Amino acid sequence: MQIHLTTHLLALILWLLSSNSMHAIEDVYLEPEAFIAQSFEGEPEQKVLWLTKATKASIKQVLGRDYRGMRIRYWQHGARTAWILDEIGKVKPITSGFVVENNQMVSMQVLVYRESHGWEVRYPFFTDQFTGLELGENNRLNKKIDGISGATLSVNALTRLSKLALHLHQEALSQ
Amino acid sequence: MSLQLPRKRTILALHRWLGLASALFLLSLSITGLALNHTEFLKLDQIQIKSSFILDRYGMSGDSEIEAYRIHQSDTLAHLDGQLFYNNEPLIAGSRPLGIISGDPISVVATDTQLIYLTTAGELIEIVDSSRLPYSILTAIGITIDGSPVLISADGNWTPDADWIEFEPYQSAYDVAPLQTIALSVEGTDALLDAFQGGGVSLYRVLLDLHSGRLFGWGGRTAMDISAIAIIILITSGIGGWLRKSRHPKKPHAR
Repeated sequence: MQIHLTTHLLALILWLLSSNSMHAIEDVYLEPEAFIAQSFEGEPEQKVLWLTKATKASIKQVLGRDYRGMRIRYWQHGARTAWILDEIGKVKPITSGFVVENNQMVSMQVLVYRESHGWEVRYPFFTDQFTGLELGENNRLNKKIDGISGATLSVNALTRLSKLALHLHQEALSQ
Repeated sequence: MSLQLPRKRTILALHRWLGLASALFLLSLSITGLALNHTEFLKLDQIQIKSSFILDRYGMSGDSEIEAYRIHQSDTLAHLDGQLFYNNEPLIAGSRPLGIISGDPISVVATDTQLIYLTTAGELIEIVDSSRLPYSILTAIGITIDGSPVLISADGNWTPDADWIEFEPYQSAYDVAPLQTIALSVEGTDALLDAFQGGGVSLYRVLLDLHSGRLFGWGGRTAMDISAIAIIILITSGIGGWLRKSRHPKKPHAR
């Protein structure tokens, strides 16, 4: 059997060239408006949480960095709140929606994904892990979030955001 | 099954020309690889490059026109290469402002896709992007007869509440005044460029991007990919040529 080395090499070069041309685009999986609408049974009230110095300090402990900005908007209906938060995975922000009730995560959804890799975090096999999450002592989650190979930074970003959403829920209801 | 090797002359010709064609890239790969392997010793991450050619490769040359605007009576808002600055301090990445509404306690800088809320001291309060606004692209900022701001877009016109949280559709008359730019002093321009470029780019970053070819964008990466493939072919053709030689040993010289 004769091996057509040139053909195989050409195929490899073409594949590499095509993979080089892949670039990140903004993928909107769910419009924020639709996320808010499906997160509440009634009409939620849009509110803002003003961040005091103490709140910013506590957010820094949760997030591991300073939060830029002095207020965060959220939606509330009864004891349920919804938060749309951004966090950078590798280079671009991931927009995610979190619904919290009684200090427990009801659901998490990736709304807009802008990175070139790691989009698997949008799928329910990953997002379902966030249901039932609670923030315990030392800002630790009560459950471990399983990672996804090749999407570690996105997984970490969403895990940080879930802690932030749970923390902000507590802050919002205590104010 | 037997492996049919091309003729020795073909193999050697391929080996020779491929070697010559990829020599420069392989040299670059080797030298940058060696240097990167000794980053700490060579202190590559402590050497900053400010060459305009290198800064240009990273989109940091700041060659674009600086557009500056007055905000809060005596402060300056500037836009340079997709970055907004408040008194020469980086504010956020954003496009050119379409309107500035100075207020107390909230001032708003409106770009085509973002509303940036600031305090009167220029501290960032909140950034609201178009996914959370009632329109997708803002075209202008208008003023109603009673002095309230109007957000004008192809999707309709909107007026904000006092806290800029909720937006109501607006269908009455309004005026649009173009945003006036101001001229920056030479010192102001230099300070803005310094803030934009930071300390430059580290030599480590430049060598890393030269090694991978990213310094020259898509073409550079492709060239390095092809060089890597060339190494594989050179190894294969080298072994192939040697095998050809081994299978057909030279005939002993006739005496």
